[in-house]
Amino acid sequence: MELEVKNLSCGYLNRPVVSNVSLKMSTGESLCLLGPNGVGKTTFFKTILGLLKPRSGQIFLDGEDVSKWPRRKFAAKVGYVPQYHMPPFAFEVLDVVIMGRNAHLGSFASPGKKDRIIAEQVLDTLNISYLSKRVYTEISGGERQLVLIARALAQEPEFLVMDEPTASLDFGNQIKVLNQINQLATSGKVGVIMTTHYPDHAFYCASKVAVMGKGDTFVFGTPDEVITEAYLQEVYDVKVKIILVENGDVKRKVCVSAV
Amino acid sequence: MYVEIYADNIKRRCKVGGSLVSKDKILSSDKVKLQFLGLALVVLFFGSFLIGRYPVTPDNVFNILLAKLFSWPQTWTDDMETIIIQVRLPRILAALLVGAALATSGAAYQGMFRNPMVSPDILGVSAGASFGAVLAIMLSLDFFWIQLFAFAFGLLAVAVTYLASTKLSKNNDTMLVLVLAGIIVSMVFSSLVALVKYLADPFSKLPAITFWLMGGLSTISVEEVVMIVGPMLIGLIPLVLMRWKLNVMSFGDEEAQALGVNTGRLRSVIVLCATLMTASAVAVSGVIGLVGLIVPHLTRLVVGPNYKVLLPASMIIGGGFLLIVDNVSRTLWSVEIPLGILTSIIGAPIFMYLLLASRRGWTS
Repeated sequence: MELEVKNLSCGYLNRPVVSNVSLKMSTGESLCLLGPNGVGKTTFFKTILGLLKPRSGQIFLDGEDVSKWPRRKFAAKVGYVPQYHMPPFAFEVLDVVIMGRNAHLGSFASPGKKDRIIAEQVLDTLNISYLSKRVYTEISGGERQLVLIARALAQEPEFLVMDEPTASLDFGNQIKVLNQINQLATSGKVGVIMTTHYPDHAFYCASKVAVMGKGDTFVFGTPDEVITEAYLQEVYDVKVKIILVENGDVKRKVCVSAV
Repeated sequence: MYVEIYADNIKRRCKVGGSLVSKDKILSSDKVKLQFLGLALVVLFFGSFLIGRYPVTPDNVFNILLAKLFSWPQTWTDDMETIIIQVRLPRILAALLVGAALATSGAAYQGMFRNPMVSPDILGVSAGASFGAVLAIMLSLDFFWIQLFAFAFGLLAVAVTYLASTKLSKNNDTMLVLVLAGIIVSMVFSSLVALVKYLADPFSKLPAITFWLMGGLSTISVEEVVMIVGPMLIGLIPLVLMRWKLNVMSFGDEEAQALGVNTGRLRSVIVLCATLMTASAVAVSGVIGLVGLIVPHLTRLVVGPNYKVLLPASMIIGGGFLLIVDNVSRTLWSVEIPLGILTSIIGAPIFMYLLLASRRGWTS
């Protein structure tokens, strides 16, 4: 499936945030969205998800304009992984994951055995079956982030939209979450769109990169094309060196502060 | 080697089958809990007929109730039949209905507002209904009109709240604006109630108004019970059918939308249903606080937060709780203590105790 954003401008009533953005990606690709604080990444995401109305422009799934789609139809194609937070009630983890099945249930339906099995399979895929019976409000932040990914996967979407999936996670959990994202994208079953504050993450798990810079600039391309020392300095206003690190067979670029 | 493979097989079997089986157990334990609660309610229902000044035996109760359905030889006195059918039956039914309605709408509101501190009258239905009732009393209308006024003004108050909030809210602050509008509308109607009390004749009207506001079922009749069954069912059925979506809703509007819930429509349905039920409850019983707030909590301690079970369980426990309190209210002293007062006096300590005992606080 192909997701296309065409000349999208978004923002609030009298405060435009992002204007005239176009990008295209398909299932199996992973797109990393970079940009300094306050540049409108979250607003852009919310607009793609249909939580905010676009000021202008369209979003297409396989060439179909999604603006008229009912919520449920859209949710069956695009899943959302928000930043983790506390819900007011102490749900069981499995019950939280099963909520992802809503996109496939009618207005008066509630999940049945099939939905539970799908939820359990998703937990198994992410290697967190051991959390299934635990209480969502009592597990760690990293675990909760993985549970939210599981919930989005239970939607069986073609695309996953993740808002800073590694924010406020410790070093180990960040890498675990990134590894999962990598595996999901390379499995070819979903396309991943995520925001991050670390250009390293883009080198690590993105096939495409979009950078929203200051003054309404938008650059879209492969990580190697887009993430250069000069461009990082322009966007983030700090001196950066990009080095190639070799560890056995694995070669990867990393960014280090040049100061 | 063999042992290793064997152990591995067992492990795999546990992994594949294990979690499924345990979830089935959990589900069936929820079912057992609901069945147990339902059974307890049935026992309480029949037991309540035996409570009161006029002694009747369980035999009498069954025979008299069944005689209403089948033709049955009369083995009881006419007095007994009057007591059972005219006095105790409407009261018991009304207590069940009112308790169930308040608790169910409270549970639904707590999920929708994502806040366990919310009660069904947060959007102003009680204040509106109170104003309607005291206005009708002031105008010397009869009981039927008092109820109709209470019902109509309860609906009006929530309609004003809802319309104001849709006009005022921009993107994602709907809930906050809804609560704020509810507070304002409640304040206006409370002031109007105070105004009516101030203007009312202190010897004839004021006592009647005060008595109504304290809440109670002592003057209930069969016809009144019949009158509220309809609106309560209209409110109840959609909530029961859509109860699982309340789980999704409690994660907030944006997440619920991203999970495919049409939040605007669901919210309208919940507000409409909860208002219908609460307004009909207030119309027959006056203002009975606390049930809509604490019963969903108690229920959450028993069955957990999943609305699939929580909503029907709240309904049963709410009905049972109010029935017990009403039984106490009509028998404990020779002068009847108004139900609204007794509910708070009995309910608050139980609630505090359970919160302290459970140690898991609001969120469990």
